[in-house]
Amino acid sequence: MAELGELGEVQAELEKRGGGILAVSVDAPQESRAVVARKHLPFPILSDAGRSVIQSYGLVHARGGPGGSDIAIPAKLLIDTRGRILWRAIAHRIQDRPDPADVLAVVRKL
Amino acid sequence: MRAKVLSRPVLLSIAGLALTLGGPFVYGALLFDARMRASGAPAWPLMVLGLLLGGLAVRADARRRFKVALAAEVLFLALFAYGFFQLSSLPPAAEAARIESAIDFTLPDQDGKPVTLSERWVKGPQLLLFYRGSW
Repeated sequence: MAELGELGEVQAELEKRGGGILAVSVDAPQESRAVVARKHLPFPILSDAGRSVIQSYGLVHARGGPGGSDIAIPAKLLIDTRGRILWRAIAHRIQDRPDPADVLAVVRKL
Repeated sequence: MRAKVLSRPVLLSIAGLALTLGGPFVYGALLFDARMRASGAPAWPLMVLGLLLGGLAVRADARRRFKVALAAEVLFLALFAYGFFQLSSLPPAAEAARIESAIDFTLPDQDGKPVTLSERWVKGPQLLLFYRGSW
């Protein structure tokens, strides 16, 4: 979750282009509300409590969460104004975190 | 009380154990750095150096205690490697790697307000960020 706090610059660059970051987790909205408040996040966290979105994207880590629940595989997808995926980074191991600088470079070229 | 001068094998052995056990802690302290976190960079050289020192201790003094220390270091390095590479592996995300267009959805944000992805992307580029949650 540490990655959420490092994305301020990415969010600013996306906002300049009319866009922004949308974070998604399987947490309930009230849990995410606490995260947004604590980290002063400039973007929303969406609640996929039903796992339907992570299912459709093939990003389910079955029994990877607390108490054997299904959670998301960490991933970043950059989407353009026609809904095409311009860039993506999908974790292969739990400790994989793409450097925010990587996505920042892509956003700046938009 | 007179300080006892520690022999060379004892010093080597202690330094070896400290480095091998310390490697993962240094790694833990540097998790905030994405590249360090992904590679485990600081842990591996420290642990391998610890192992070498433990090996030198055994070479200098073949008594059992030094062999036990070396065995502990080997075991610790193996456990760390197992956790790093095996326990942490995630299932392959074939669909997310292949799709060329985003799949639209509507989900509630942290205040329960519905957000529709396609209504956002028509306004500007969106970074969709899936993460493991706050637990």
